[in-house]
Amino acid sequence: MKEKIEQLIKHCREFLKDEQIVTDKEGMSHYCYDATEMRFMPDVVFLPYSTEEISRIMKLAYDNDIPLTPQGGRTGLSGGALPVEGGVLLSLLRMNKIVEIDEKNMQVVVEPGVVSADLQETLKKYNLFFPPDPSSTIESTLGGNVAENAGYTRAVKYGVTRDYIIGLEAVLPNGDVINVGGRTVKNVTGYDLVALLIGSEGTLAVVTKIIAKLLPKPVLRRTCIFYLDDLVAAADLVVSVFGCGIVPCAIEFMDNTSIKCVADYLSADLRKDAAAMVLIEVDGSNQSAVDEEVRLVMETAGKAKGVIESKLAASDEEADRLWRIRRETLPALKALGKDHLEADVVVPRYQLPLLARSIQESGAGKKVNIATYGHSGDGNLHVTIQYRKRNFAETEEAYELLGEIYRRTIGMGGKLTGEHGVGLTAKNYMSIQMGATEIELMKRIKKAFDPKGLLNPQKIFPDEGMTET
Amino acid sequence: MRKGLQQDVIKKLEDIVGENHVLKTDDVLEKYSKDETIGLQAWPDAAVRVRSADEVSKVLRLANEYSIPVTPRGLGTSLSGGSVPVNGGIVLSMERMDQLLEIDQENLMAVTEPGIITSELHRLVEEQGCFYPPDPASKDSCSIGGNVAEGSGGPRAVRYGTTKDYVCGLEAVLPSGEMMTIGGKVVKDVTGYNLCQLLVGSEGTLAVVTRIILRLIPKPKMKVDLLAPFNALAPAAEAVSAIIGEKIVPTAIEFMDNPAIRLAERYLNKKVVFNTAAAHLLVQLDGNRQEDFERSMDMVEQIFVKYGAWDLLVAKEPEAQNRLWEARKCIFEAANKMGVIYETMDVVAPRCCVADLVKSSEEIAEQFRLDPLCVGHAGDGNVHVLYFKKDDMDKEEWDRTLPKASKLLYEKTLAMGGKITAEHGIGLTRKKYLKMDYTERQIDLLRGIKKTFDPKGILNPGKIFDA
Repeated sequence: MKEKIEQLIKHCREFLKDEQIVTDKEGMSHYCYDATEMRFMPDVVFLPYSTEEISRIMKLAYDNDIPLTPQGGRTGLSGGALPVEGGVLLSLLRMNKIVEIDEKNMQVVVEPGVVSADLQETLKKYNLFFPPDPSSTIESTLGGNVAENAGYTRAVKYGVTRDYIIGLEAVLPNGDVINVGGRTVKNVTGYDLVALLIGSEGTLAVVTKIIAKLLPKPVLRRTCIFYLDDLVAAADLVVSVFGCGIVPCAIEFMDNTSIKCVADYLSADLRKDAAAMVLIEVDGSNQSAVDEEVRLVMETAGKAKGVIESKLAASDEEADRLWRIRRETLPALKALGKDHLEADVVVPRYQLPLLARSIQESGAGKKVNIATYGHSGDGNLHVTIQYRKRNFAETEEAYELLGEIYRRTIGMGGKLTGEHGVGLTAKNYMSIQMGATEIELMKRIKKAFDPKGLLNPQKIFPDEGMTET
Repeated sequence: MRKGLQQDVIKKLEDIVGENHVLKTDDVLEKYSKDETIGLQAWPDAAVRVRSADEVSKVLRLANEYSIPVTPRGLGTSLSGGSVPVNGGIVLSMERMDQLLEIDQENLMAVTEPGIITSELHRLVEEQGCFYPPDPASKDSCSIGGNVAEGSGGPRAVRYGTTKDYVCGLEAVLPSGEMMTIGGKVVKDVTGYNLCQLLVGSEGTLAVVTRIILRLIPKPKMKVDLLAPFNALAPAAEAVSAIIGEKIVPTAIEFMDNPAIRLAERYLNKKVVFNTAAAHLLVQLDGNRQEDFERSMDMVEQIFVKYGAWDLLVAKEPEAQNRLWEARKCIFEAANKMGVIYETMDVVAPRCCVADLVKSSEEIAEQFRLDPLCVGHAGDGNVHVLYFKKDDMDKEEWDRTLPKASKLLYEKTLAMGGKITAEHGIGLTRKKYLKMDYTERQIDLLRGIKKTFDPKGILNPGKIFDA
């Protein structure tokens, strides 16, 4: 391997500058981790500026049987961009140009290394809006969002990343460049390779250009929160809102553990006695319409069973403060300093509070601590299990619980992951959700793109003999 | 002629679905030998009307074993020949699997069998206060399974997207007979590859869909339709951009040119309003509040006037709304029933290129001595160009001319950043043009995917690309 890598670097020096090749340990250590806090060292890091450079690197690596892992902003929560087998780490951070903003057709063409927040900032000037903006926006890249089909808090109304991507340029594992989809919002020419590549976690091809559709920016929003004394009552609260014909842009959920943790972390005045909190936001472009919608939400949800307090933010500043509570949940939980496992399960919307309660029940009496919070409007529940790695009993308990959470989720008609991806963290649970037929089919698709299995190896598919059922 | 199926295969099929549901004679098979694509017909050896996923699985297992081609079929309204059994064999008809299984109000989901008529599904979910937006023009005769196979659009795609945007889960049977469950009643799911959206629009070449889970939305409380006549298409197209520029996203923005208006008149046998206009724009708005609604309507009116509309019709009641849409909705039926020879294109370009696209299609018609007609979805850039054979052109010349005209139109479309089909599919009729958009490498990738699903190539063979 070492020799092969050296040969590869030698060849790549013919078309890459020295600053595009990182081989020293310290330099490479910046690319060996993501938000899972797992680490894998690559043998070399390349920082290409163009599709052509990527194509040449990939062809060389492929011809010489060297594994290659593409990587964006390292905010992944499933280990999808970690070079498990070493080899080449292909960082897309230098491909960070916004190529074109087409105001007339409301489309944007970007390179994969563009940071989500930078795109949002640029579009503001044009009064345009790219809805999928994950909470990791200041670091996550568009390429990463496409690879993971990232969600975000506004998916209830606006859908996920996939709903906005209409065309891609991508490099296949052997270095061939393809263009799929294009500049039209409707297109049924051949199989939908765009939909297949989105969310494929960088295992089928490396995306080098992204064409996305945009919306006019909604200028107004109103935010409210509801505290409940019964967690399960949140289910009917959410249904009641949809029942009056309103699709809010966000419906977020936090359980008692999460509320208490954030209250302490932010020293915020929250109802620590509440079993759950639901945050709802409506948006639009017309003042009276938005006011009317939020009035209806307050009236309907405020009367829902189990609500002990409801509050409408009087200003955007107050709305930001409410959002901060939700946004700081994961940091607050992490700040407790324990080791943690994350799950990103998704169930039919109405089942979310029932799943949260079921998870609490399965954690009752255990040493480890469980917090649940997430996107109530689309059934996506995040679970954080806190434990101490050094304590063998707690570690075992934490992993047992994680398996149990997945089994309960699937039992409710749910899925292992709603927006974070399978990557490394969920792959050995795949068989809980999918039959052998589906998994085999996906493996064959992988093979059709990557016969040698060199692109982002060891992701998504369960390890041999490691499967939980 | 047809070589027919072996007697033991027929017997086995009858054992699976019952004797009554294996059709073998020409009189009953004719229906299964064609769809709504003009001039295409190919006879199957048998049509099998299945009633369950289990039956589908057994039929496919048998066909796979004997290497018999199987062409799945909804209700046969395809416009690209997708359900024509070009290689003979078995037509697998889903017409009896037509039950809506569940409307889940709590999760806003519908679970249905594939054979239900799309407008029947609309009716049933709307009775429950829910809404399923995709509405292909053939909604009164097409099936939801066919919509899934083609990734169908419809007028409401401007605001609400196409079939693809609503399919959350599928049960499907592989050509080997193995059953798959993909997705579910969840709106977000990133577990493994997105097989669900890969199957949508795969034109029945990868698997047979036996159950569909669709996302619903709350039904908008009110809607209004506006029709305006323009003296030229270019300003009408500009009006469309202006409407969207005002942050109004109408449910639908349709247009029809003068030949379309005239065809509708002949077919409906009555005068259509503003029949001297170069183009009609038809805009539908929906919403929940009177006040916003009025505001959007005022805005659209002002824009219409600004861009040269010389009149405006507004329809708020269902009956008046139906009248307003009558001409637009009858075009395909009219063309079919007039007994004329024609071909339908389904080109799509970025929205602001619509006027250029129509202009190009007219120039091409002029160059090749064809009669053009354009209708379509101005809001999403999708234009249906119909080329009619002139009376004085003989059939042979038409057969020589049409491919040249089509090729040129596709060239111009692709040069605008467009695509050769937006909602009708590649099927048989556009197969030879796929190479204009796809490189050989990309077609190879499609073949690779096809092979992972269907190693023996029995399912809907001859469609999209040659194996």
